Amino acid sequence: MPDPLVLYSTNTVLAYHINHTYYADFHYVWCSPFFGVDNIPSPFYPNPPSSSPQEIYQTLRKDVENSDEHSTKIKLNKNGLRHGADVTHGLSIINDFQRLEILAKIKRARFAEFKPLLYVIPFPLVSGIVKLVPVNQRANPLADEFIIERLPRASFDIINP
Amino acid sequence: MEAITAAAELNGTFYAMRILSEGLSLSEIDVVTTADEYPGTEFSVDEQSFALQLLRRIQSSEKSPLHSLSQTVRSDHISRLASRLDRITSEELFNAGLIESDELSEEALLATAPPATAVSFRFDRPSNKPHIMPLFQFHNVSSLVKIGDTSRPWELSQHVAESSLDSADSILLCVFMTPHQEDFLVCKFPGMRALDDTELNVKGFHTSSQSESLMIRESGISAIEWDRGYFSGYQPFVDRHHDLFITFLRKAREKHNSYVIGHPAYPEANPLAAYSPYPLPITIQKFNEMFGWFSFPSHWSPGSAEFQMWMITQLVEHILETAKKLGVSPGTLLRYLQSR
Repeated sequence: MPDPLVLYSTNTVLAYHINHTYYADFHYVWCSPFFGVDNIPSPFYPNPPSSSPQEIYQTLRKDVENSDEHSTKIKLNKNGLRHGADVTHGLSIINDFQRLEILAKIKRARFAEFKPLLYVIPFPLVSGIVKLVPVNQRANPLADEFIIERLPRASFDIINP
Repeated sequence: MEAITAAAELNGTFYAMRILSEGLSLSEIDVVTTADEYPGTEFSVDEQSFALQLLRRIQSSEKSPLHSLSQTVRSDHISRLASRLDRITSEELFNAGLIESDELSEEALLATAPPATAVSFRFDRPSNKPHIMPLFQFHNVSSLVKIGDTSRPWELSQHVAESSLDSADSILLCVFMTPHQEDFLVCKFPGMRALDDTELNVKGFHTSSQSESLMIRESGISAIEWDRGYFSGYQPFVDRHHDLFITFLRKAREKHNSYVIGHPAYPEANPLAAYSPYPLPITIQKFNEMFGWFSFPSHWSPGSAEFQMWMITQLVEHILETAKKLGVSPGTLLRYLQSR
């Protein structure tokens, strides 16, 4: 497969805030070259809903609008951010106090903080730092999923409709 | 499950959540030791191992491959794992003074509705304990009722019967985890010594020296301590002490506002089953009607810490939620239900 033009990633306002504030505006993202199922050019790239930025966006938006206390996506996002705080603390990117502050912010976050944001990432800007998710960790082994652990803010645009 | 650090538990549980949410096949996932290959870049070997243990338990209890679980079941498990992580971090934030006790309930915060009869969750969680028992504290604590001192469970029934407590004001919550061959709990009262092999006189029975405590306090409520017990052979224990426990539980219920949580998954091996007037298992929805018995999803490993935490949390939250809806105190609700 040729290099994609762009990568898409759905994140939350809270994730953006934490990455921006505590991690020097380096953002941790999972991303896909296809926004949604309608954009898939071939049946060989069936990104399933769990990894489709479009599906993640729509689910998060619906959960936020409905104040869905049982939202799985919100729970995953919260705990992903907690995990991120632990990892960055281990790497000495943040100190003890900052880690606790992040955890407290996650704890106190209301639904509005989980409003989804769509990141559009030009692939050429990140081709050197993008990591392919191993096949056994992908929601669909034929789908393309990438991780960018330290995505500079200058390397992506945000769509916030 | 082997002892791990709190950080490994937190991160490992999150990794398990991620695998669950992605619908991945557990059979294809191994622990990755390479530092530059995902998930080695993010999760340590211990964390990955912990996650796989959690997932194997889920898979085993569901009797279905992980990737074949329905979305609903998967979401259920994710929610429970998320609740567990929330409790871990809440405890840390509470201890650090960054949140108040009434902010410890995630749902209450998210809904931005300060609960009128909120419960505070504190967790007795020394770092050397891989299993966690939550410490619940109801608000409006007025007093602790000391039921008495005894060192032998078979003396409990007599002790309860002779207690001079005012039953109208006391609530005794008995949680008796019986069924699993490797892990169970025995309720005990303040002042009791830890159970040991000699006292129980059951081959294969071992109590942990790390006694864990669960205290449920409301106006006039009792404090109950728990010993985590491990024994390799369940049936001899049942045979030997069946009558004792039934007697104890019956008298406890007669004498106090007591509630028994049994284990419906193994009715044939559960001494509590004989005492149940209801068909087992029952649903959570029926809990409000029956109340003396409580059911839980069959996919939890009954002896697991996750299950215990979930069950007790569900129970307490249900009490509080119902009381709040009715505009009464939890104690009033319990007494009302008991009288029905």
